Amino acid sequence: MLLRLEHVQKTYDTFALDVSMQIEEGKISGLIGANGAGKSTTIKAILGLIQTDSGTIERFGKQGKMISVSEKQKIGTVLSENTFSMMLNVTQIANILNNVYPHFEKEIFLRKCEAYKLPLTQELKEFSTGMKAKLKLLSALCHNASLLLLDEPTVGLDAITRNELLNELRAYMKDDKGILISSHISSDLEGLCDDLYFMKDGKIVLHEDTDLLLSSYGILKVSKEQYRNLDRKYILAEQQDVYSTILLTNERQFYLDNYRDIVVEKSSIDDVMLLLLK
Amino acid sequence: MKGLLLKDFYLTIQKKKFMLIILFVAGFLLYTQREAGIAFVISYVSVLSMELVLSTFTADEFDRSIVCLMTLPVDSSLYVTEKYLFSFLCGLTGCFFTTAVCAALWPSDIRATAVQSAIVFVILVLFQSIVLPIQIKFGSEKGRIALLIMVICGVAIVSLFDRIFVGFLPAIETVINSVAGLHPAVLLTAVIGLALLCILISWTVSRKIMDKKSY
Repeated sequence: MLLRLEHVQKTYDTFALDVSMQIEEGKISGLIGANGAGKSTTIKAILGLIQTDSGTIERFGKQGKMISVSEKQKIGTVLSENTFSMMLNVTQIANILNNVYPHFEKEIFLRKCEAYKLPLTQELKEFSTGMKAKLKLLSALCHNASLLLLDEPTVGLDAITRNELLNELRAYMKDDKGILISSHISSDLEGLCDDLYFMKDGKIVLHEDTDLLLSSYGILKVSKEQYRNLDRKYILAEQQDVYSTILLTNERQFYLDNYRDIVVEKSSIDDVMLLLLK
Repeated sequence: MKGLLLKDFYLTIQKKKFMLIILFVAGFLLYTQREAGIAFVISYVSVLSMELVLSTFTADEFDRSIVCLMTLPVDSSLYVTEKYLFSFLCGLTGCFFTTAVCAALWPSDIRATAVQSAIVFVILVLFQSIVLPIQIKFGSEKGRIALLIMVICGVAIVSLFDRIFVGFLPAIETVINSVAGLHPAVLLTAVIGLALLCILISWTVSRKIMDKKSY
């Protein structure tokens, strides 16, 4: 187990985090939630950037509130809102990382930066949002980390670059490595993640394998009459409008078999998000 | 440690213009006011070298790049130790550079210049031991204000003591004179010991402040 969080809690004035999750070797886990759901706070708690109130965090089999330097060496991080000092350039950052990480692959890093058309001697303040996003991800990928913690790594990227970087993540994955990635872009997670954590108001409201979510989950559209007669034991969430009710189920086949007169559709991650997290 | 030192070095060399201005003014002062100027110029260059250290705090805070920094294999202890080491190196470079220039210009005064330089360096180390925890606690901008308030409070307290306890300042002067009368080796050991103690206390305080920080 690369990472295990057990009721990790942190309370602010208007927000309370209470999260349990685990990241296993060989798996890519996605973290989905609206803005302010607690995705970044969770990642910061794992990295020891905030002091949690209670709960346990186990990194690489070791329990501890504080994260050690050796544990940080095994983690590659992308934070959505933070990057290196704007006064540094890529070559300088490569030199810094080369002296900070014991296994930093400087040549590969610089080669990839050139491949992604990142100017090596230009200060970061001249970089576009997309260029900074590329640099952050490449920095996280080039020191042979066992665990990647990626908070909105593809934000600000065009579709082509996003796809290229997601391919980098796929190429990075091996049996002994794991990734926790948060994103607003569900299509990124759908094609990448083995399992998904849905987060709302600081809590995990659903954890499911992506394959299962796409194969077994479904959307039911029912009238008020149909709603009254419906067996709702497999209903996870519902949303009512004036004329009908939209329901999320984790047993689409059950409703297909037993309720021939209602509309049953396959659900996408966006559908699950909209119904579950609204 | 080396990575952090490199980072601060890269950030410092961005201040090329500032460094050139320091050197130009120092050269001008040395040229025009040699008699009273050597000690002053050494102090001037050394204290301004501290400003370069403070500018690295500003850079760490700018765009909250310190958050990114703390995701690297860096803990509070390493970050604080690096800042102290970098301050020490900057102060030492400033003192050494100025002393070397003065010694080259006036070789006959080399002994006096070296003594003055050593005294300035020890004072600078003591100054760093006060400034660095304030910077780490309050950040670069608020830290400057906090430092100013501390200096004003310090002066006010000494003035108050002098008014309430008549003869307070003369008594302090007597203590300083008696200390100055000690054997140079004893005095040097005492001063270095005091400086090291201050740095150790200051480092411990800074580390505890850093430990409690959230990002």
